[in-house]
Amino acid sequence: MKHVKTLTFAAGVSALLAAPAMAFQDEGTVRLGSTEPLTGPGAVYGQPTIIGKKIAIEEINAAGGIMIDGKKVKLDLFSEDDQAKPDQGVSIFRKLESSDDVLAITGTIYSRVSETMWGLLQKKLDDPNDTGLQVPAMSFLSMKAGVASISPWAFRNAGVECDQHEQLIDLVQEANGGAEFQSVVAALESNEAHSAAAWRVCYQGSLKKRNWDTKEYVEWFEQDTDFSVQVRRIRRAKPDLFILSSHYQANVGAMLEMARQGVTPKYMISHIGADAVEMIDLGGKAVEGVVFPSTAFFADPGVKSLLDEYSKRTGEWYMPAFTYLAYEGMYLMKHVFETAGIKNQPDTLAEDRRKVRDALASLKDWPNPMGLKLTMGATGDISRPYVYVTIKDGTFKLWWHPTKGYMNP
Amino acid sequence: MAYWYTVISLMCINTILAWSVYSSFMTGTVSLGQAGFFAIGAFASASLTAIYGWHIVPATMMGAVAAAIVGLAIAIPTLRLKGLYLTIATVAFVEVIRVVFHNIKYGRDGEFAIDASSADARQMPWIGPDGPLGFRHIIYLTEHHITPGEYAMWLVLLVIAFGVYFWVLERSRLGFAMRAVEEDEIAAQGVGLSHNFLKVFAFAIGAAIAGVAGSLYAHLLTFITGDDFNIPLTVMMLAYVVIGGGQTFWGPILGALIFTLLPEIARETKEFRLELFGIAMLATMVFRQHGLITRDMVRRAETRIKTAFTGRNTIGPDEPGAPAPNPTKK
Amino acid sequence: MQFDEFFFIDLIQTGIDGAMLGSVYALMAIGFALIWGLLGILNLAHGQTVAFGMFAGLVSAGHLKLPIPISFACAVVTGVLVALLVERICYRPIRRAHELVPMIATLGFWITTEEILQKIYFHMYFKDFMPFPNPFTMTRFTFGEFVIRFDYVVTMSVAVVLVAALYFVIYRSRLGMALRMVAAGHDIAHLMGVNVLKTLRSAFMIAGAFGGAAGYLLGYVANMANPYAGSMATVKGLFTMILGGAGSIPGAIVGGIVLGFTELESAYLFSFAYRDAIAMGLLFLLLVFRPQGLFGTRVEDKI
Repeated sequence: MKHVKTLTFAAGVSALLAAPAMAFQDEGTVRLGSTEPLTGPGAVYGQPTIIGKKIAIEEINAAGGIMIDGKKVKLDLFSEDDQAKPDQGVSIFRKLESSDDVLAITGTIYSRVSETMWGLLQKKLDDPNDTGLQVPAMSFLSMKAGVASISPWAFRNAGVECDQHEQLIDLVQEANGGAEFQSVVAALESNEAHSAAAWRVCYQGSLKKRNWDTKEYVEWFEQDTDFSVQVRRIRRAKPDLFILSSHYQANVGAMLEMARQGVTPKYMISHIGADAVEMIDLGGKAVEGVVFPSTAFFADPGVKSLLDEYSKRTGEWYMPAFTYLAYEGMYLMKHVFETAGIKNQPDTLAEDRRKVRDALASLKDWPNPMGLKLTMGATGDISRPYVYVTIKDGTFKLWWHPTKGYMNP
Repeated sequence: MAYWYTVISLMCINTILAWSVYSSFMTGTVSLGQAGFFAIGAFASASLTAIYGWHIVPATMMGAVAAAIVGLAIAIPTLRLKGLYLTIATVAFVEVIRVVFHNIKYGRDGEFAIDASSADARQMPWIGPDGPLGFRHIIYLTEHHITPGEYAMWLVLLVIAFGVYFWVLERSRLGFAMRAVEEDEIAAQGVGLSHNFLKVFAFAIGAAIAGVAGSLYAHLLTFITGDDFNIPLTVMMLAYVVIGGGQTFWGPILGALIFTLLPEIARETKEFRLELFGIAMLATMVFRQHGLITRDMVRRAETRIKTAFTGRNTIGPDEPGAPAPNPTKK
Repeated sequence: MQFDEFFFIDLIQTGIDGAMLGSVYALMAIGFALIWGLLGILNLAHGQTVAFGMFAGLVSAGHLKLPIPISFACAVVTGVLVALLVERICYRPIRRAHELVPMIATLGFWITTEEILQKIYFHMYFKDFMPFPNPFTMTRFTFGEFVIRFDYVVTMSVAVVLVAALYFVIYRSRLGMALRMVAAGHDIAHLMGVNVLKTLRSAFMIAGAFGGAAGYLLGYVANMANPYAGSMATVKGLFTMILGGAGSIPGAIVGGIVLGFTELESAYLFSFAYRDAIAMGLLFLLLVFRPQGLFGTRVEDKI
C-alpha cells in the first residue's frame, strides 16, 4: 500500500516537472505572463488589478484577438499568485519565463516583489557577460521611485512619481497665489518602502530645489493606531502646507487625530497611496481637502465603460487608478505585439522577446484607451499627464486637470 | 527548468534554516531567533560581495562567522532562561535586528544600468542597504555567470555536507551529550557534562548555519530588506522542525521540503493555497505529534537497509542509542 | 523632541495617552497569560479571537445597527466561540504532547483563519479595511492643558470592569478555585476531584471573552476593522504578557500599560524609527535580568 502511495506521488511530481505542451501561433494564441498577489494581505491590490486585466483581455479576444504575422490570435493570460512574497515572486518569474515560455511578464503590484523579480533581469543590453534573464517585464503599479531603472527589460506605465509631486507642489503654490508657504510640515510613514522612497527621492528633492525647510517633520508606522504625539507637534507648527508621504491606512488615523486636535492646514498633499475609497469610508469628514495625484480619475468619461464593467463585477462605486492602468497595459501589450514584427513561434521566442522589448522601449505617441498619447521614457517609465484629485463633500473630485485647470480649489 | 532550479534552491535554503533551528533544538533550546541570524548572514555576505567585490564563498563564511559571534553574544546571557522564556527572548532579538536592518544605510554609489536622466532616477543607484528602501543590486550570480542550475547544484551539495555533519554529530559522543542535556539538564550535569558549554556551542553553530542560509538567500533574491526577516518567518522555521520531527535530523528536511513544495504544487488550487497550508500544518500536529519522522522510523529504516545488505539484524537492544526514545517530556 | 515650554505638558500628555492605549494591550495579553499560566503553552491562535471579535462588532454595530452594548456582547460571544474551537482542535487532541506541538497547531489555525477571515471581508466588502462604528470619535475631555479622548476613557473603564469581574471569578467562585488548582498542577487538581478538562475549557472561554472584547475595543479606538488584527494582537499580546511576567494576570495588566506608555514615550523622546527596537531591546534586557517578568514569581530549579 505504501509503495502505491509513493508511486502515485512520484508520478504526480514527474507530471508537474514535464514541460507544458507548446501552444503558440499554430494553436492560435499568444502567451502573456501575469503575476499579482491574489491571496494574502496583498489581494486587495491584486484583485482589482486582475479584474482590470481580464476585462481588457475579454474585450480584445471578443474583438477577434491580436494580429500577429498576418493571423489573428487570442491573448492567453498565464496568471500566477505571488502572495506579495519575494521568494514566491522569484520562482514565479522563473516559471513564467522558462516553463510557460511567455512573451512578456506583467506585474506585480508591490515594488518590493517587483524589485526582486526584476533583479533577475539582464542589467546591460547585449552584454554577453550578463546572464540575467531576457524577457520584457512590465508593472502597472510598483510606484517606488527608481524601480524600473533596474534593468533595460523593465517597464512601468504608472507614471513617474517624482514628476507628480514636483507638479503638485508647483500647483499648490500657484493656488496659494504664488506666495511662499510659512510653515511646511511633512509626515512620513517610515516603515513602508514606497513612502520612504517617495519622501527621500521625490519630496525632499522638490523641497531642496525650492530652498524650503520643513518646520516640523514627523514619522509614523503604517499599522499605528495612535497619532497623538505626532499631531501635537504638527499642531504647534501651524502648517499651511502639509505633506503626507503615507498610505490611506495611516493617513486616515492621522487625519482623524488632526480633526480632534483642530489642525487644519491650508493645503494637504499625499501620494497615490491615498487613492483608495477607504480614505472616505474610514475618514469621513476628517480627510476632506487632501489632494493626491492620479493617472485615471474614475469619473473621467474616457474610463466610463471600464468603470461600469468594474462596478458590475465588484459592486464598487469607486475604481482605483491602478485598475485602469492594468486595463490599459493589456491594450499596450496588444499594440506592442502587433507592431513589433514577431513570429510567435516556439523557436523564435528569444528574438520575439527582444523585439517586444525594443518596441516597448521605443513606444512613442501611442493613443491609450482614454485618448491620451503615451511615450516611453529613458528609464522605462511612461511619463503621462496627471490629474489631481481631492476629497470634498464625501466623494472624490477633480482638483486640477491638465486642460481644465483648477476645478475644486 | 530554471523555475524548478529556483524551487530546489529555496528548498535547500529552507532545509538549512530548519537545521539551524534543529542544532540548538538538540540541546532542548527552542530558538525563535533564527530570522535574526539569517538577516545578519544575508546582509553581511551581500555587503561583502556587492560592495567590496568579494568571492561568494569567503563572503558566505564571513556571514556565518558574524552570525555565530552574535549568536554567542545572545546565547551566553540568555542561557539562564528556562524553556519558552528563552524562546521569547530570541523573538525580541529578531525584532531588534529587523528594525536595525530596516534603518541602516552604508555602501557606495553604483552605476546606472541604463542611461537615465529622468527625475525618478536622479539618485545614483546605491549599492548597499539603504534603510527602508532595501539592499538592491546583489547581482553576484549573474555577474559571475552562475546559472540557476549551477547554483541549485551547489546548494544541494551544501545541504548534503550539512546532512553529513548532522549524521556524524548524531552518532558522536557530542551528539549523545547534547541529547542528554535535552532530556534532563540536571542529570546531564550530574554525570559531568557541561550543559552550558553544549548549549552555547549548539546555539552558535545554529546561528552560523542560519548565516550561511542568509547569504544563499540574499544572492538568490538579489534584493533584500530588513522587513523580510520578521516574526512569521522565524516561527515558520521552527514549524519545519516540529512538523518534520525534531528527534532526528531527517525530520527538519522533510518539514522544509513539504512546506516549500506545498505552495508550488498547490498552485492549481489558486486562491485556497494559504488555507491548505495552514490546515496541513494543523493536521500534521494533530495526527503526528512527534512530527512526520520519528527516531523509531529512522532506526527501523536503518535496520532494514543493513539487513538488506548484510542479511542479518545488526541492531540489538544492547547497542548505544537503542533504548526507546522519550520524546515527550512534559 | 524639542526641549521647550511644551516639553513637560507633552511628556505627561503622551504618558496619559500611552497608558490609555495600553489598556487594550492589557486586554489582549490577559488571554495569553491565562492560557500560559494554566497550560504552559503559547496559544498563537489567541489573536484570532481578537480578529473575529472585531469582525463580529463590525457586522453587528456597523450593519445590523445594534446598540453598542449588544454588539459588544456579540463580539465577546464570538471570541468565546473561536476560543472553544481552538481548544477543541488545537489543544485537546494533543494536550499530552510536547509544548511546541500545540503551539505549531495554533500557528496553523492562525494562518488558516486569518486567510478565511480576509476572504470573508473581501467577499462582503471587496476591501480589507472597514470603518468601525464609533459615534464618540471626536468627543474629548479637556482638563486645563490636558486632553483625554472619550473613547479611551470608555476602553479603560471596560477594561477595569472586565478585570474586576475576572478577579471575582478567580478568587470568589468555585470555577476560580478549580482554575487555581489546575494552575498548581494538572495531576494534583485531578486527584483533588477537579474536572481538569472542563476547567481548561472554561479557561479558554474566559481567554476568548477577553480576546473578543479587546477586538471590539481595538476597532473602536482605531475607527477601523481589518482581518489582520489577529496578527497584530498576537505579537503585541505576546510581548505584553512576557513584559508583565508570563502567566501572571496583574502582570499582563501592568505590562499592557507599560508597553503602551513605552511605545508612545519612546516615539516622543527618542528616535521614532527605532521605536520598536527600543521596546524590544528593553524587553530582552528585562528577560535576561529578570526572567520572571515584572510581576512573575521566581520558578525554582529542580535541584
